[in-house]
Amino acid sequence: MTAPAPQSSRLDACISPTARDSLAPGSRDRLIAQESLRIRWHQLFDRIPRLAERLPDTTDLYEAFLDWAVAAGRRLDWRMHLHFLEFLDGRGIALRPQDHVELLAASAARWFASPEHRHRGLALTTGTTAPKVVVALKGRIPLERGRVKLAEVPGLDPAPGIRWSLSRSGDFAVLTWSPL
Amino acid sequence: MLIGVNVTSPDTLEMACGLRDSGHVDFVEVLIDGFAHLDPKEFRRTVGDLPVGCHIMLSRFLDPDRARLDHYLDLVNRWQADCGLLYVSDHIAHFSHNGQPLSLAMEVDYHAWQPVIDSVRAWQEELGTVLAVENFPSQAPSDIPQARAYAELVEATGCEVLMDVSNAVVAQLNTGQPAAAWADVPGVGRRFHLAGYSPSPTSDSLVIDSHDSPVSDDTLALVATFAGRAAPDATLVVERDANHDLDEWRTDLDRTRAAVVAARRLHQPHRA
Repeated sequence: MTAPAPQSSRLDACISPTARDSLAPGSRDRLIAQESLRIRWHQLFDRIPRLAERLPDTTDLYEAFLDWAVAAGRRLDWRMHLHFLEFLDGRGIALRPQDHVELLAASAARWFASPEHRHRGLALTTGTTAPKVVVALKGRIPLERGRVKLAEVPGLDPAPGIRWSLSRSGDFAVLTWSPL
Repeated sequence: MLIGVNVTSPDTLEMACGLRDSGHVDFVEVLIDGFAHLDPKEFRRTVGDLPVGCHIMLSRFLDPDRARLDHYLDLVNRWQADCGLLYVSDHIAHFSHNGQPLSLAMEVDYHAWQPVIDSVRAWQEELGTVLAVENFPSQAPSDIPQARAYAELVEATGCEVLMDVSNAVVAQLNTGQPAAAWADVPGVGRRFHLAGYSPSPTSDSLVIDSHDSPVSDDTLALVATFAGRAAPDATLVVERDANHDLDEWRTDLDRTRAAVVAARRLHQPHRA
């Protein structure tokens, strides 16, 4: 049996395909790392089926994305799909407006499960979607489901980059955009 | 023993209310992370007089961040005040690495256990209650048995073990560490979880705590062992986190209750 790798190497391998490949082939550590990366693949692509179908090879692209995210310090929390958009743009992969919307909606859906915010509302936009924004609203009461929709914001000018805004009450009375 | 289900979202809360109305559950366990934006008084109104336990997923108290811990402290205090929590439980695991979230929680290294003990003690003191910490569904063997490490933890901190029975079965399948060893660990006896598990698509040799399938016979057999020794006010949560099939969930609850009753504990009446 292969001796376990140091803990830091094992954890590195769960977020980076390059680090995974440095573990001994056939080892338990490598199997666990591969399982972690498999789960993240689903977290990324299951929510963007139309775009995933158009991409030529999701495996290579996915692994390049993860290594890029680690190297560039991009945190793959609820913003993972926003960073994927950023990554695809950087690779010169042509994206249609509906791809932007799908990626923003995927990010919004992951935000629902994010524990870090008490806010009810999240708005997301890119220069491509403006003056429309993707809006995510958590339920007002425990049994009310969250909703994601595409809405127009009068006066929102197209601007480069990906932007997001939180709203405590969900009424978006004031939209203060933060860059990604 | 009170038998309940976990609620993580409006969808699962709706199912839990249905299971309450059909007499299948005695309490609910709220994953507090998923309801942070809501007033706990609204939650109390929704579940009526059903007792409420509290589960924390991402406090990441092993990797403490003051603002994050304060957020969870405030949440627990508000929910305690408005819902009267049966217990507060949390996890010992790595949820991130170098600032990057992990897609799959990773087991800590039991060779470096003292910092974990210190962290549990500190978090428990801040919470101001006995903390129930969940055992981990181990994926790889360790020469220090997890059950032995938890015994040391309980002795040092006075915490309880949230004994996830199926996690112990998963650990046994993955590592060979006997699940039954947990029966002798101090701190085991008041808080229990169980759920379904399945082999990973990556390899059949890796079993995943998937929470998406019916509870196994091995798990139920082990439940009988623990239920026979459980405290009178013990709680047991039958968890589902994916593939929410209400009929399957109801069947799991029925089978679990039958296993508990068969263990010759107090008769477990369904709620009226």
